[in-house]
Amino acid sequence: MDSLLPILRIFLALALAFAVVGLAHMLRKVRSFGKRELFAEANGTEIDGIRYALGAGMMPWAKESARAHPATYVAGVIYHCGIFAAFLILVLSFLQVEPTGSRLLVVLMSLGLIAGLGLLIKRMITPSLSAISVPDDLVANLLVNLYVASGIAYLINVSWLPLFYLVSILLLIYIPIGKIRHCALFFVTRLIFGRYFGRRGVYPAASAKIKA
Amino acid sequence: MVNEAVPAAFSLEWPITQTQLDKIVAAFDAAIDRDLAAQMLTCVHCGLCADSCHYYLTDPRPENIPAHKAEMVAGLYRRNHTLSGRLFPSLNHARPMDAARAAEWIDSLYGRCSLCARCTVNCTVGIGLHQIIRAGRTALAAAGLVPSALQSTVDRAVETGNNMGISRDEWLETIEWLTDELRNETGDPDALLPIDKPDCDYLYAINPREAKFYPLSLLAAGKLFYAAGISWTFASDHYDVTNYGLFSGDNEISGMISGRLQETAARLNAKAIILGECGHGYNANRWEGPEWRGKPHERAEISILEIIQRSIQEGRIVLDPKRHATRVTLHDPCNLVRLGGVIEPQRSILSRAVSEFVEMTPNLEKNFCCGGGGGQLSMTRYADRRILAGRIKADQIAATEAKVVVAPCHNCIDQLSELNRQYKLGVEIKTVTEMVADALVLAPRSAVTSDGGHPR
Ligand code: SF4
Ligand code: SF4
Repeated sequence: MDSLLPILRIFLALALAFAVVGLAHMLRKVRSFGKRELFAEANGTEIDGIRYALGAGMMPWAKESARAHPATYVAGVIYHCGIFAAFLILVLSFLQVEPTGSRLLVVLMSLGLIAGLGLLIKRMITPSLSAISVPDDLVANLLVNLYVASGIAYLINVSWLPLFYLVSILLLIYIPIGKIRHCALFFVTRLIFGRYFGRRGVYPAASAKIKA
Repeated sequence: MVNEAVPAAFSLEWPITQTQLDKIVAAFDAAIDRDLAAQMLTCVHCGLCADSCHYYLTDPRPENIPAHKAEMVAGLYRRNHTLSGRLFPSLNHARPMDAARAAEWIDSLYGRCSLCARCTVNCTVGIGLHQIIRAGRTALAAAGLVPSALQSTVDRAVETGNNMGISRDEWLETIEWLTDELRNETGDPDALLPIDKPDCDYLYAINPREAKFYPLSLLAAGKLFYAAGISWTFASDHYDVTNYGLFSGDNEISGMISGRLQETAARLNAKAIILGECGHGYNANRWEGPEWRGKPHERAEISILEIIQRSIQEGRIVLDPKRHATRVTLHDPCNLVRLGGVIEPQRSILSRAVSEFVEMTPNLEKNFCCGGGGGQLSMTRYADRRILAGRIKADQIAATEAKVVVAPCHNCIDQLSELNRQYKLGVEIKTVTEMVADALVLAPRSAVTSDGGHPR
């Protein structure tokens, strides 16, 4: 198995390049639609809106959707922490650096995996959620879960590294194809949200006033 | 040529042709800018926007989930503009446009959405769902697929200058008898509701429903301007603050309608335009108008609420809150508050005009839509859905135990009045201007100038 590692490393690098180029192409395509010039006189500032969108507006209490579904919100946060932890150990293993604090990472990634599986089950059993789900949702969730799980396996026993690499390669190739592209677009969309409501003087002004 | 049979469930008024389908795709592409493109690729299908939509809350079917409506539109983008959408269309429902799809768009985008943007502010990512849905409407409008009742409201505005089709004579007659009323109320024989008066500070644009059904609200505004000594005028032709092009999705017509107010203000040499209490009129004219016209407004457009607030702050009008002794609550119209940024004036005014004020829960930019926006009031074919979706607003009102609901929007007032009857709320529904006019303490006649205002 170990003899496969150098080849897998090459494929991993190629897959990473594919993901980066794919995302860059996607962003270039998005940009090609052009920026619409705005003529209405602003009532607030875009920068204040962006600050809100990337700061207070990300807090769970800022959005009713998060307030009403705290378990989903927490699961989402934990899931993403687990994914980032798995990415960290992928990078370290690629650089052939022994990860320190691996026990902590195993706990974090395991929690992330449980959260990921929980979100998958929720998607399948919640009628409203399954109604808006597409095959991409299933593929993305399973791939990411497998990726985190193989990362945990590698941390427990290094002989699982080839599997971790193999799953990572598949995941990286999938990133620009499916919904995981939101890793690049999430912040772009938050910026757009902040600019839009900041100009109109809605945010952060409204957030400072009385609420339910 | 008829492309294919449309499922009966969508009960279209006409068959959809291939030419129309081509127009949908072309107009949709033209409506996309980089912001919209990015947002159409970002939904993670978490489903958390479902509970933010009054349609879903009152009728929890998939078609009512905001993400479902927006993703229907975004799917066309992915199909035509992404490699994965072309190579693996079934992976994320990147479907091409066909007759069945167009029929679904009509039913969902016009019939299940009031363009209130509540989903947008509650989306976990912050996707402009209302913008995506409106872009879909723009595409349908280009293909002539706007529901007929909504389209005729737009057409009437284009042809007659106002969406109620009020004739010039009828309008002038209304102003004439309201002027008599104003003189009676103020005791000033020179008090005026000026028409086409040149060189004023403000041209006042109203919702023509006021002239047709609620003329006393025009009287209320006239009384208030009179008391505050504001230099203003109505126009005899283009005085309509509404713009149903915002709802039909036709940007060209929308720009033309919005441009009329600017042109009229220029003709009368008014310095600025006061936009009457109309939520979508504010958004359409103040925010979207310059974008549709492709240039900044020559004259500022200000909400009447800002004028009233300023008049109170400057001591130009005095209010007696004891005249409104019962509990009062406030409805935040989506287009005025969540999309317009007019948040504070109505609260500041009511704090001076009423004795007991209570906020709805939730409020401000998180407030629930009354259900009357998005052109729903004109689309009678979706009336049952509108009344059902309005139940959330009715529950909100009932929970405040208020006796008076103030709504700074005449469209909202129409919907709230229907909800009042339907859900037996037993409340009185008024505009901010009406509340202020009723609480107004008029200055002695000697302080009033001959043109109907106070000395400035
Ligand atoms: S909340 Fe936003 S990201 Fe989640 S399903 Fe709705 S639109 Fe998509
Ligand atoms: S804009 Fe309003 S009505 Fe339309 S989907 Fe969003 S929440 Fe529902």
